[in-house]
Amino acid sequence: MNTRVYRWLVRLYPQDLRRDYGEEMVLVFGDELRDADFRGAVRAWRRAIAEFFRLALPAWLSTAEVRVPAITLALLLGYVGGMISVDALRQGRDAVTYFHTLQDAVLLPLFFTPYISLLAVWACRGRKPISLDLNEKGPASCSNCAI
Amino acid sequence: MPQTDQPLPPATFWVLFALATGDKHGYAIMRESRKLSDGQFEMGPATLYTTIQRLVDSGWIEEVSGPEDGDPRRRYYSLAKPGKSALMGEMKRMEAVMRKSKALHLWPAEGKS
Repeated sequence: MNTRVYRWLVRLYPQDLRRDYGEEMVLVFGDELRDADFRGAVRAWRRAIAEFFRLALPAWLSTAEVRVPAITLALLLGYVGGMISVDALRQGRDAVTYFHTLQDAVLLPLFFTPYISLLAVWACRGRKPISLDLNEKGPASCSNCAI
Repeated sequence: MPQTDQPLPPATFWVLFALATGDKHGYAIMRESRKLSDGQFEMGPATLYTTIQRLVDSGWIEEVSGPEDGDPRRRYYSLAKPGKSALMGEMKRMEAVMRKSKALHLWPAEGKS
């Protein structure tokens, strides 16, 4: 069970590491759990999660396929959050009571744009990564979508 | 290619140090590095294999065949010549720091803390 969860985590590591060493990583993690007592197993899991955030997440976020929607999502959430906070402050209400009455139909479509962006980037999978470098020569878009 | 004139990252150092005591598979490297560091250095499988991948790519360590009765799923690694000289360089660097700190009386004398 535990190694099954870890195997799933390994799938999120960069492809070259996963391809060359993925099976051994799972094997070693299984060995660690087998030889550890309860506290040792907790330590092993804590290390595995810390490694995921330190090694896999930055590599994953550095790929253009993820970076584009991640930046879009962050900007939109920041924008929507900022709007809500300013509006709530203006009305002299706290965020919790404000959310109960939030019916602003103008803001709602904004929530869908990250998904549209994700869908568009998904359509570009397996093609040349989308470059965010504006100085790079050549088209910054892929052939089958509008990004 | 890792630079030899710079101090080695801890994971690189301990993997090389563990392999200096003999050829090993991944889990044995992990255990040996923990033992050699008196439990002060611990790494998980991702750090271990990211380091191994980098060291294999740069030729500091190499894959070797394991024992005939060993687990076929495990790959064994051996310290190559460039890796050995990098490890020796790091140890010399450590020794120089120790010597200097003792000369400057920064290192506590034995028996004192």
